[in-house]
Amino acid sequence: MGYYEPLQELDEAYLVAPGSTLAEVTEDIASVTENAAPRGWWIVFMGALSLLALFGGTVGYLFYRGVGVWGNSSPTYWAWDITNFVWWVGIGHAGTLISAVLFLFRQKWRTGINRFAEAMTIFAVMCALIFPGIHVGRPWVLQWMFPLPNQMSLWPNFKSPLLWDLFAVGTYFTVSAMFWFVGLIPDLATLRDRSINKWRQRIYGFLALGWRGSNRHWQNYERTYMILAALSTPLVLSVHSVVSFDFATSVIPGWHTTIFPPYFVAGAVFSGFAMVMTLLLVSRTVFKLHRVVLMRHLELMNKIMLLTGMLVGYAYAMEFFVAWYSGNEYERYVFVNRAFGPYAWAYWTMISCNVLSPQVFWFKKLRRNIPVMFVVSIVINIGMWFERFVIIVTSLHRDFLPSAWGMFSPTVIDLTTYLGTMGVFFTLFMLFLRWLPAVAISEVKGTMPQADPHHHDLVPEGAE
Amino acid sequence: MSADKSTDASNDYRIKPGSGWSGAWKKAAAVGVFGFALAGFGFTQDAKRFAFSYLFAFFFFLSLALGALFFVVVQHLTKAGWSVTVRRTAEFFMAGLPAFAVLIIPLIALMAQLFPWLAPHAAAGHGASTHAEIALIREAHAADLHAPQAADSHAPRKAGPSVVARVAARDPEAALEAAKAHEHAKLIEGKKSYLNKPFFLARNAFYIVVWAALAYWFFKNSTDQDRTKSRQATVNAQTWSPLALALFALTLTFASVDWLMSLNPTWFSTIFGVQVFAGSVVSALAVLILVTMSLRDTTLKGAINVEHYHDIGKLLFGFNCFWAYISFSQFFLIWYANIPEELAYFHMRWSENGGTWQGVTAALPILHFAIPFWLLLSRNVKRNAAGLVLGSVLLLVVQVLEMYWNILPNFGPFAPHWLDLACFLGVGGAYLAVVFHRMENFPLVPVGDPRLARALHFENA
Repeated sequence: MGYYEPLQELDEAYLVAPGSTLAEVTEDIASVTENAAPRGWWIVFMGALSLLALFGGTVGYLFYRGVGVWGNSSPTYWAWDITNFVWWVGIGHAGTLISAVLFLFRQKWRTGINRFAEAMTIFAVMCALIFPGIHVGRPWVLQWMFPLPNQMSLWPNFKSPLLWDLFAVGTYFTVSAMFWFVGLIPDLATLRDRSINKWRQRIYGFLALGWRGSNRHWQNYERTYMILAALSTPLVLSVHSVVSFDFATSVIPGWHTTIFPPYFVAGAVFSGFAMVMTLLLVSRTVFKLHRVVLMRHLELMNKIMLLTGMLVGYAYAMEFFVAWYSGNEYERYVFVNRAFGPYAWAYWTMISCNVLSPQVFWFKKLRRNIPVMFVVSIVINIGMWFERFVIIVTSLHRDFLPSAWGMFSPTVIDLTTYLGTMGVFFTLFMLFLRWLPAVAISEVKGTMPQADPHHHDLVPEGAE
Repeated sequence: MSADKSTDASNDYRIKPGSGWSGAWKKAAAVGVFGFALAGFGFTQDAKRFAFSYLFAFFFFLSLALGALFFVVVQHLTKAGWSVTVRRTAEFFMAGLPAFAVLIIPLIALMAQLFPWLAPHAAAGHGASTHAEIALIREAHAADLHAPQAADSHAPRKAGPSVVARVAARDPEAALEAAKAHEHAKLIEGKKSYLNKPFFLARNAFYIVVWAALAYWFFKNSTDQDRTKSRQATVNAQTWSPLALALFALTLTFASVDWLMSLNPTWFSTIFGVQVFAGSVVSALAVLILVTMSLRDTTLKGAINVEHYHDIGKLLFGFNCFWAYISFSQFFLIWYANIPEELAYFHMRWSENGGTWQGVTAALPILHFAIPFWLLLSRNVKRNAAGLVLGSVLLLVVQVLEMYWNILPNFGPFAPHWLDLACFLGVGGAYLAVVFHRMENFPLVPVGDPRLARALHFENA
């Protein structure tokens, strides 16, 4: 046996179902876009479209009446709008982490899931960008979010983290979209070559940029992919760090603390993986992708959720410890208020969902149990939404002046806005599944035994 | 398969008698003894300076050993195959951890010199006054502050100022100082349930036991495998690595709070443990590169080649960027919010102490980030022995400097003292004697690891 063979005693294995041929992998993935959609797809798509309609209605009403239709009020001027923004941006983190960071770390198992994750990233960031867009209340002057001088040559405040946010999220979106498209090119060419319909052939042919799979094409492709991965890696950290600055640069207890940047990044990766898991389990079942998305992939993702869940737990613990250790009475009060005040239910929901629930993944049996991981992935996303809600609302509702204290309660419009963005997200995602190769065909093939240069030493000619 | 034979049977990966590395542990021990002798003399001259210099040396080498522990644990956690040949060198540096159980003794003995929270009255302001007196001065000062608000408010002041108030009026700065000192003492008083001697000692006993146990177990598991060639040993290391990592994170964080953050007991930062962690991994990776480089043409010939160096170089580059990211986050958020109690950390290293630390403070971002970033960014440099060694030496030196900068401003102005060097030689010599002794008695490559052949054939894609 050669040294390149997986060692079974160490639980190593190939990343595609044993005995699969290259043609079977292409067929499995490409046919999703070629055959009629299964009923499961239609069910989810119709649900998503209904939510999209809800979104249209809500936003129309919002523009007609103004942002007063939300529950934001003194002293909680920031509430669900920014909670949703941060939640969506966070979800958008897994894509780049999987496609760039795991690529640089040579984690080949990422090939089974990276395309999903990247698509999800782009759609999640789009949903996130909706919130600052509609929050300004006057969408017809949206250009003032950009650093433009007004008629008095007055520039916006460059020291404002809200402005940095625009650059951070905008850059992230651009680079993620580029990365996604570059990775798609060889697979778009595969779809083009399999087309039996003229329009299909033309559209995929146009998008494939004349890809012929020549040596030179592959060389350029690999180099571009590597450079984009290196450029995206700092973006994984920068986006959520800048989002955390929206809070941490202030002097509000519970917002201003030095661990915020890495803590937000860890939480973002955590929620992003949970969302990938939810989507992956559904798509894998609906489109029968069991050949390329194995239990091994799911188990590794669960391990990452356990790790990032513990990192988030570390940050919660440090915040709590240092709030006490600081001796600052306002700091101490905010944390006591979080855990035992009127929003204690939200705080303990957050702790149970984010810190306790992923602990089930310490056990191999549960880590490999699909219903368990499906439930936990949804629970984590609920928990991560509550994390942002807890940070934002509990710090604002009781600050330095007890006379200004108040409670926040959301309105129906808050709820429909949030559900509406789910509609945007799932509609886009369902369309992606049907029209683009949902798994990176060429990359998955690179992890198969056939791709090993020594493969033919082991398998007799013609045995495949 | 012919591939397996390249595990060169003639090379047992042991240090050859008579080579430069044979007997290295004796030289290190000699340096250690010399350093301790000098430091011992220094202790009789200036016990407080000795305590701070010793803490600097102790924590630098401790963070290096912990960085090595982290490297070993993460290789198992990620089931990395490429790094098998590199891992043993990190295991040696990890195996020196039990030495700190002895090296910590002088620090425990001199705790009172280091920590203001052990002597709250001393912290309360230069022995000036009792709490009651300070409270009086504070009250008087407060009255003084409020009085001038109204134009006609001179009358009540003239009417019947107490003695204390008159003192305060004559010397408002002294009164303010006293009031500050009082606040300070009150704050420290509030932390007593964490910052007290018995709990501090119990915590440190816990850290030392955890570190020694992890180092012992991972080292023994790996070196036993050299003989047994058992694949189960690899599985065991992988099974226990998550728990080891959790314990590592917990102990490193609180050791940093205890030994570094509480030097200035009113200052606090939630990211501090992460910042110390990032630095410790940078030190460990730099040392890993330098030590393996020096054995590259002899004992480790063929086992660690340019492909491995390229990868360790990437990790060094990456962790150094991580260090910069974490350090910047800490600095930036404190600078932006500008809250006095948090700013104290940077204030001490910039305006206070006569501004003597400004040079070091300004040099750190350049030497620890800007220069190594551009140097190690290039693929060619990481694959070039001289370039990688240059980057590693630079980062190791600035890590020492950063540890110095983290600790010594709590002592006073920037004024390097021969005791700093003496303690550095003493602690370093003792720790390295243990490490080098292990190196001489075990193969420098885990010859029993089932993925050894894979690591020997590793190529960076």
